[in-house]
Amino acid sequence: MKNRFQTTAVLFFILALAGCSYFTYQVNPQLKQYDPQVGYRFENLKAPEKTDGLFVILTFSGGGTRAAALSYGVLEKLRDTKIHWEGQERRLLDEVDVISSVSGGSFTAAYYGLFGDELFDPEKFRKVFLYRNMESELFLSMLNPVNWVRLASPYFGRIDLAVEIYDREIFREKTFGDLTTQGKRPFIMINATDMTIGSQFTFIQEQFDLMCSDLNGVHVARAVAASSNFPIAFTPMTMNNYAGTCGYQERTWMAEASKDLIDNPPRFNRVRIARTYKNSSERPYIHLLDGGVADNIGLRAPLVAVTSNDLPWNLPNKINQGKIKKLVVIVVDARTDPETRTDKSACSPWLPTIVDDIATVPMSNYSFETVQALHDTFEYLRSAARNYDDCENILKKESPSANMPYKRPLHVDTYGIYVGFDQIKDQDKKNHFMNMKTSFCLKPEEVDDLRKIGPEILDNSEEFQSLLKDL
Amino acid sequence: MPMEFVVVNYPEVRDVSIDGEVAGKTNDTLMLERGHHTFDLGIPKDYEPESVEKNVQDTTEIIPLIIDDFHPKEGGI
Repeated sequence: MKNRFQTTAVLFFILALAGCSYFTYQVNPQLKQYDPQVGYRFENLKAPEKTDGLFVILTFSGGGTRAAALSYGVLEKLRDTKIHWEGQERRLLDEVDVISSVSGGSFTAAYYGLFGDELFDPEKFRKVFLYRNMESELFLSMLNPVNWVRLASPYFGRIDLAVEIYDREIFREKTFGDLTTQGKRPFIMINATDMTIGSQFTFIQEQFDLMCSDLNGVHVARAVAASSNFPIAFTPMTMNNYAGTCGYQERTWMAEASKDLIDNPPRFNRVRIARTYKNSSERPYIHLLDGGVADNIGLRAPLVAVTSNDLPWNLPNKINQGKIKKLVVIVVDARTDPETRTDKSACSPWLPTIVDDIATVPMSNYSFETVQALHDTFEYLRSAARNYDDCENILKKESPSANMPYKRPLHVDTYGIYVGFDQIKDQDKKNHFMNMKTSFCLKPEEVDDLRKIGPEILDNSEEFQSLLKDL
Repeated sequence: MPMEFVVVNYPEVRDVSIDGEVAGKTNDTLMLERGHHTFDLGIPKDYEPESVEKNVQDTTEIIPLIIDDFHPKEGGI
């Protein structure tokens, strides 16, 4: 009787602890005072050994370990690619200015951002993540009875268990403050999805300014976990919103963009989304899902930087000032196209299949349009320069003494390079990659294959070869 | 995504800020995103008006929007 009472008392105590938020997620810290010069921002990362003349952006897609390994192989290729730029021989890898990543690709991006070339040490990233069965470790942690108690709390979910494992086992408890202190490029943009408004949520101080939160105090593992927070498999990640407490002042572009509903709806939408974070009474908490839900190739944010003057590190302003001569964007997309039995049966698909398809298939289709938008932008920039030159040539022919009334806009050479399995010519080989599963556990030989195929696709890319020829 | 083009005319070479960020120089053809923008010439504030707002659209690299509003203050330049 006494034992039963004691057991009941212990259970009651545990449930009380769980219920009163004793077990809670890692809380993102409040920002004391807004300062647009401080924090993890592109402008605060120096590149003393290089200029912006050759500006390189990489984007890493989602796709679990498959995506992490494909992007890893691409980084290995860039490390081994020697170029001549501004009179010096360099590695193309050292010219990378920005990496924007989603989900599985975020593991590689974050590790490279934090530890640089250590990424390539066989005993480091390969051992702690790439060739590791992370999936079973995540599963085993959920079977631990201690974690059952913690998971009973509404403030602590499966995603928070994942954060602890990634933090301890992969990212050595490093924070964005460590990235800021390092102060070196590439600028790592880890993207998640704001569940309520369905838009991209990027772990950079500009995003956290809106919420009066200090990104420097956030563990990088938390960003990576949010970025790879596949719906249902994990719980949404909660972030605290302290908006209105740090003296945040809207940037000038925001007031201007709010007038662009008719003239430029995407710009209007950007400011509309940004302002939803400023109302902390309406949204005291933000819930994040896998970055792939909003953009599975991580290209949307760089695309805004290429086409708009609104971001502090925007490229049009750099191009106007003659800082950028060559602009390179390499999209690494681990999209698959697995054979499915769904349409071979009249039966309704299972719930997991439905969730998986809803979360990934529409976005994969949308990714094609995102890549096309990049190519269209680059083609527009090329044609703008051509049009001006053609017009000037006609003018000189018809009226040799006449001059163009306005100066030629500064030109930039653009290279849009896509690395995806669709480009594999051999059908059997293509099928092999197109049917690889999305998981945090692949066979070692599959990881080896992924590391090799990225460089192979780059070698066969006309645009990549054209870039190398020009350097 | 089509871009827009502007030229901010001024008697001397100055920085041009678009929406508070330095975007290029006066009298150069500058590329920018379509829509509403605020233009100014930064510091020193020895020119008038302090800033101008324009809705930039339907321009080309050959026929940019010309912003002729800025001039030195009395006693400037």
